[in-house]
Amino acid sequence: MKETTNSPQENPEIEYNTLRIFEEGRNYKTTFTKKFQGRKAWARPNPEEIKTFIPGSVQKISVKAGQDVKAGDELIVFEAMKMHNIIRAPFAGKITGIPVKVGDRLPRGALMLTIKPAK
Amino acid sequence: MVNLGTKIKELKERQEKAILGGGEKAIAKQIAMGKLPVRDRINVLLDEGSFHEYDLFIAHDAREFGMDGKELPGDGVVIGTGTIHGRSVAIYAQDFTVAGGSLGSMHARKIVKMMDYALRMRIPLIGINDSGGARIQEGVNSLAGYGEIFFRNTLASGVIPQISVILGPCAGGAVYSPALTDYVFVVENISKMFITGPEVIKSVLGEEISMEELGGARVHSEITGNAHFYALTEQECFRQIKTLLSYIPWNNDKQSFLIIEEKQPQKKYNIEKIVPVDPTKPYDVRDIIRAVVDGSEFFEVQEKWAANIVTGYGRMGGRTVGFVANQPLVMAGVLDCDSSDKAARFIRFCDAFNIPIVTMEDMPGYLPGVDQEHAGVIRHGAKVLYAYSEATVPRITIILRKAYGGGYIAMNSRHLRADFVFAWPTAEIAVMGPEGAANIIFRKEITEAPDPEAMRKQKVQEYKDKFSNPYVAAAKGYIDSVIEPKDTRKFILHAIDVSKDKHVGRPGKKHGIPPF
Repeated sequence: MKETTNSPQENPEIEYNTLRIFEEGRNYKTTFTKKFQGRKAWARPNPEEIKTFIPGSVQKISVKAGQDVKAGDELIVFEAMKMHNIIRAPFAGKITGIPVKVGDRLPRGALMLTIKPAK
Repeated sequence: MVNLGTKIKELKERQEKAILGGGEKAIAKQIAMGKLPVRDRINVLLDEGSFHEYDLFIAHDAREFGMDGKELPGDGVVIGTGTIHGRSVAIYAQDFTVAGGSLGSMHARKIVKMMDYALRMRIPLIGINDSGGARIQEGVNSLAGYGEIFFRNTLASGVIPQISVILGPCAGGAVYSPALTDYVFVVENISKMFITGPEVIKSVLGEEISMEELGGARVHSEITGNAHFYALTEQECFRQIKTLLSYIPWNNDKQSFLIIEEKQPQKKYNIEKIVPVDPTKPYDVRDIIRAVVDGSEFFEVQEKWAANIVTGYGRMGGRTVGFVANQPLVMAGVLDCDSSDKAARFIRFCDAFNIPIVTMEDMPGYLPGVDQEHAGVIRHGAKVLYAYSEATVPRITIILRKAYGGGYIAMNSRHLRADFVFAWPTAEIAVMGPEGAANIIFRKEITEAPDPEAMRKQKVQEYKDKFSNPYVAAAKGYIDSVIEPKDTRKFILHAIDVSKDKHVGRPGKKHGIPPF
């Protein structure tokens, strides 16, 4: 009689990954989900960069590079979802760059303006 | 000779010792961090002198790892009952000075005692969380304690209001009790909530992040949506809890407090001057709510998270009303994954606790984008439809301006059984905005015209004249009245009055299956 084993076999057709939960802990042989593999590392947000929060287009630029602004001043009118959204200065400072122009269509998370806080 | 005096003296000595918790040094350390001592927290929150403490002399029962001889006063948690606004509440508060507020089996048993009591007496439950987590020396007994708490949170859900106050660390499995309760309060620099801490994240993924950036008060009130109210100090947090409890009823058989003294909205909120007729212009929809509620007092829930939809409480004619409103000021007022979750949950709370819902609608539709689609906006958006359709409390919708496409249906439309739908003359009820619609319907005419741009403009205008108004929907009876903005309060008050004994049937079932 041929001897059979009851211990489960790993499927040779599957590509396994290793997941470690604690530094000193065990390694787990496993497979990853697509979503986990495609994840982005967290990056500390830079308050000096003003980015789009929604896809849309630049309707109007109300400031110039080098200009000093107060908190709440209108910087850009950004058209998105049929609305003229007013982008305002989050704090008092100097505009250090405006890498966009009127009419630009921008995706979400695109850089619109940089501002350096006043001392 | 033994007499009553010596017996009382012994009791007092025992009480004093137990109340000292982890000792004066440990208490001073907490105070230095901006935290109040555990019983001060309770006394500030409850009506003065109303707190009655139970289980002060509980002793832990751990025997392993040198725990045998250790004394842990009250086992690290204070429980009792008292009143807020003169009505009874049950409360428990973890004491970080005793073994880091860690949860052992007797600690859990005390919490569970208050939970059972609150559910039996049909009074709100307030939990103040300040704990390092499971008491590792007690092993699975500690985990069993959490499980007993989570099970009771779920049983009590929708029967009594459950409030969680995060006044210290709340990490690992412990976070799931707050997550199962109705309202979570956090305080800047004091609240910390996460499943795995910065240390673990660094060792596994190599990502460096501080505790505050990972799970601080601001993160949970702006990014994750796990918290509902954010305060700068513990005192402010306690005031917020009292305000919330002035709006919501004590259990699901009761109505909210009725405030007899009728206050009119303040004159400075001129309802005719708030909404620009041009649908591309933003405004703050909260000013519309303030223009219709008693005394212009609006108490917002989850103010900073998913601010493209506004949720909160006001009173109309002295009765509590829950408001759900699209916010054109933020992200054009679109529905997306987060705002759908936020609205759906708020609607379900109102429905469970007999609070009528008023919906203010001005929204261009769902947010387009790969990230939204891949994040499951279909499933999240469906929660809004589910929550509204299921709700049997009085439901009133005011269409202020844009009501397009799926958003029109989702925002408490007649078709989901709204009791009353009113529209302002500025309302545009259509499948989509006129520009998009004209481009699709008249594509051929536009491209083949000698001057396509002129033809496009003409067709957009044609569509606007025909459909960008409330009268097509009014002709079908989908809206009950086209009303002048200044009559909005009058119509809502009357609608609430008419529907105060509303009674509707639903097919019998164990429970539905909402798109979780």
